Amino acid sequence: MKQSLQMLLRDWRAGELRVLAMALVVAVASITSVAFFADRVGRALVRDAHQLLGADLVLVSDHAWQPGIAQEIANRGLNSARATTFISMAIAGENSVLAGVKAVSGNYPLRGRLRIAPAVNAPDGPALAGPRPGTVWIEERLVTALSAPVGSRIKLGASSFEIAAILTLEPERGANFFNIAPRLFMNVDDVAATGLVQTGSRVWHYLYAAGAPEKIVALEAWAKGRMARGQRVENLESGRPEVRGAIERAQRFLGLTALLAAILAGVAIALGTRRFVERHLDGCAVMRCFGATQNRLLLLFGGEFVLLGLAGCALGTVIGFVAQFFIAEILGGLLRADLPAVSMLPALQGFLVGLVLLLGFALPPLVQLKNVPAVRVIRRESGATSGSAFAVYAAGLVSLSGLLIWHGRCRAGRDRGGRFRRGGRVVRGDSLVGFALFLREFLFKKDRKEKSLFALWPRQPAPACARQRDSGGEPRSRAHRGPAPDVHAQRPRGCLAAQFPAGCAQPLSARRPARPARGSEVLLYQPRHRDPGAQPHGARPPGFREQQEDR
Amino acid sequence: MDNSKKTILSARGIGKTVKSGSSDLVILREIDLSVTAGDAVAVVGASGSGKSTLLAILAGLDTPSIGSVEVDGADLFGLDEDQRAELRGKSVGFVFQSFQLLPSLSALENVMLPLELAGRADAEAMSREILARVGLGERLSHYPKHLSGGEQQRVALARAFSVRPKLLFADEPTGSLDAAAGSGVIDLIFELNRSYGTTLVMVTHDENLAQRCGRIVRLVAGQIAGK
Repeated sequence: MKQSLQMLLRDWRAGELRVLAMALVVAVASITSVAFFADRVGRALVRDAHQLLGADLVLVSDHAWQPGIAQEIANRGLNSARATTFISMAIAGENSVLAGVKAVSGNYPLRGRLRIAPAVNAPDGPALAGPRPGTVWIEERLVTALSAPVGSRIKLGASSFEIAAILTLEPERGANFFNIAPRLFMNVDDVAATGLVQTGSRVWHYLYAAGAPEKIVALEAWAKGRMARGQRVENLESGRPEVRGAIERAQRFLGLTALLAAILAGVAIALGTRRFVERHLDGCAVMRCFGATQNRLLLLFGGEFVLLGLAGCALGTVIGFVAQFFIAEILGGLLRADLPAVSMLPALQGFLVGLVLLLGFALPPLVQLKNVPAVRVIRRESGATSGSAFAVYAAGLVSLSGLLIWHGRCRAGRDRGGRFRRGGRVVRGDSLVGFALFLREFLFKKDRKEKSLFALWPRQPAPACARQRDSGGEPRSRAHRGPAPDVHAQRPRGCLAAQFPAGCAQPLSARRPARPARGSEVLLYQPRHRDPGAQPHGARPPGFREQQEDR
Repeated sequence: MDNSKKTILSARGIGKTVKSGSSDLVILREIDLSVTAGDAVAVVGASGSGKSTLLAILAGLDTPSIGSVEVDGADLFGLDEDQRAELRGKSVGFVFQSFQLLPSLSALENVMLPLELAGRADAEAMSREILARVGLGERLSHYPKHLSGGEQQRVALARAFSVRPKLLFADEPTGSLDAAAGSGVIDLIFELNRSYGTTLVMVTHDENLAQRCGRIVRLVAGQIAGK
């Protein structure tokens, strides 16, 4: 490792590693900044989503809860709250309006906050607790309908209540028939005194639970096995389906953003490594001459890259950490939400992604570097065996795929607490398919054009046939200036043999068709009728219709 | 240094044939050569006569199609690639026509390289000493691109002799130098050769240089024409 460190310092000083290090740092910084931001936004989305539910889990019943359920929530170390909803007539003086009554415990809601105002059109603020016993909060339209301002009294069943505040925001409230009625909040301990809830009343009883995700998952599993008739368990997926789609889309977008950063990182690292390998072929041959075994070379360069990776990933992670604050600052106006504090998981993810990308894309070429023959010091055209181009990059592909799967599982695990498992799977599937398409479209097509990333080794001299042609005085056309395979040297398998027929220094596909001589006619349309001269100007030639139909 | 007259390099029946299209191209045939420790042997011949190929085979850099080579008593091609590399690291030094200095390393670091590969703790001290000996004691931190051709070849010589090799292979050591610089390098090679008791096998076009060696092996069309 000491020699690897020496080589790292020497190569760094000589500028051999700067491109690669820059690519790695930028890549890791991109990945970590996006990951940090995505993580914060994701957690904020889940947090806010739970605010829409008022808790992490809600148990709903059309009759009073059996006593063991609420006790079980407390026994599991979870916070709990309760609520009862029903429709009732609210009366103030001569006015009466059907109100949607929600009687809640003092600690409702467990997630998010109700917002109340001291008067109609007055600035509102978050409520620290539910309505005190003997008081109610009502919506503004109820104030209007009943002509009952804050401070006046309102009658519900057999009880009378003071209007203590105007309810301005109830995050949990969804859109359904029973929520059309204007809302009235009261304390759940006052319900019995109203006499409104009797046998046969249409009343819904709620138990809310909030706490650690794993405890919520366990409670959900426990509760589902104990639900009686008229009882159900609601989470975000079942309770607020309209929220689920939005969060899934946001997570998919952020996931694809991180994926793009990872793919660009892989490409940059592959290019940087290619340059490094090309510039070290001669040095490796000299070292082989002076006694370096293949394993020794592999350890030296492998160690050098591991050290480079550790340093580059650490620096990139720090930059990513700082950059995400700027991203949050810039996008803060769009988000309109307080992002939660930074967690360290994205830092770990970014660091590991950088290392795996570096080693996945760099180690295969480095492994090939050890195969540089010592005789290269005398015959420079002797290169290393390049092996299969796909095999070289398969390691990078496998590494990246592994990372994506891991990342998908991490998100699925995290989402399990937030009930968005499907989102994780979708992103993971998209990521893998996207990366495979990228490889096919970019890398392999480039390879076929002989400008490939797979061309790890310097091009070999032109074969005898090409030299003979040149020496024969025939001017070399532009089409023949490209690199040519050496019949004596192994060429990358990515260069399909079929594209290099004997005596041809350029793939047939790269040859240009002969340009027509000046003045000669170029037929853009070849009619089936061989006597187009019989047609008047502007008329459709025979066969045009058939050709259109063929298309 | 042991200068006893034992055979340090022995080649028997060396032949090298490569495929050229549909036919075989014979580069070397029936080469028998024996070099005694401490000798200086020049391999001369026209371009394409197989000199460099023979040198590469004798040094274990390339493999023959047929025949065997013994270096310091070890059957070179009975060893695998890594074992040959280790043998080269212990017993063989090289000087190349194109110097083959690593451009990212300073003169001192280039000389230290084989010593570091050999795991020598005193690599820096030894390198400083031998660089001073070749007259580059003041240019330790200079990179190859800042050295003249003659100076680069001196660094290469220092690197070759730094591990005190028993056998030194030199491939056209003055081929890239002008007459004055070449003369200085040659003087240095023979001086170091005498000093360290190294056996020298040198490929050269230069008849005058060859005459300074104790023995001349002349290659004609891949065969030894005279010894």
